[in-house]
Amino acid sequence: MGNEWAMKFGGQYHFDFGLTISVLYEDMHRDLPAVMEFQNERQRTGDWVSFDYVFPNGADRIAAGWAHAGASVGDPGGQHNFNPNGIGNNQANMYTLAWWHKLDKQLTWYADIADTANDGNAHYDIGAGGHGIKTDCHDATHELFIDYSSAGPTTWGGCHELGVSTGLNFRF
Amino acid sequence: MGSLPAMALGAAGLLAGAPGWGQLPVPHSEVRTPEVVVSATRQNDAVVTAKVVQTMHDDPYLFADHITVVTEGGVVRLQGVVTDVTDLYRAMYLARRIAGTRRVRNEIELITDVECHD
Repeated sequence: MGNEWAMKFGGQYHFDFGLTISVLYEDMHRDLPAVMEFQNERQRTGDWVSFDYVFPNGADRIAAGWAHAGASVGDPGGQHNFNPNGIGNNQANMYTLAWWHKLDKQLTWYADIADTANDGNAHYDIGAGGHGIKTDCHDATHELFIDYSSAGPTTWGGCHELGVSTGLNFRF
Repeated sequence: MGSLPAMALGAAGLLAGAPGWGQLPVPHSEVRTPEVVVSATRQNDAVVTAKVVQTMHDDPYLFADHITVVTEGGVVRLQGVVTDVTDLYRAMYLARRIAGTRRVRNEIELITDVECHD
């Protein structure tokens, strides 16, 4: 057990010509005795930057974002391919791109893509943001690799996940 | 007897035409009574409002069914609700183009997908 505290700062600025810039920084801490720091996976920083632009034609909008998870102090492991010599090698980056195109006053077509790149010991997932079912870190684990050491199938580190979504949106 | 506004306008005309008085720094609008100015402004406001509403209605992409346009004292105010940020920027863009040098105030509430579904 250990005390935890966190802080988060965010800002957003709208320019009149259609551009919105968003930034966010978070810092999470878990106070543990030095002997327990090797498993302190909860202490890390995080960053997010986003650019959102609405074109003057009134039909198109595009957004791009970058999210970053900093390295944690420790890592309890548990992944099939956990490298105990790679403590701190668990940062992750997620890049996102989205495009909306209005077909008329009420019908909009959208497409977005998210790409998460994990370091060797990192196992972050893509947040689906409400579109479809969120992927789970236990999915795609072959039965041969289920060791039940964590009361169920464990996850893989270092994965490179890519998610794509497209659809139509009608507003009443 | 002429009315007070007519007399005031007549007096202003005499002053402006009198030798040696033409250089007086008395703008024509200041001599008018407030009633005349307000009436003209209201007419202009109504014209601007009608033009903005028509332009929004004619736009092929802007869903303006829940947007209200109010023009008061030359200031164009956009009110109501949109559910798409594209509509918000488009409404402001069109209103500014019609309003010209007049001020355009955005009072539209943007309700996003997240707020709609959660």
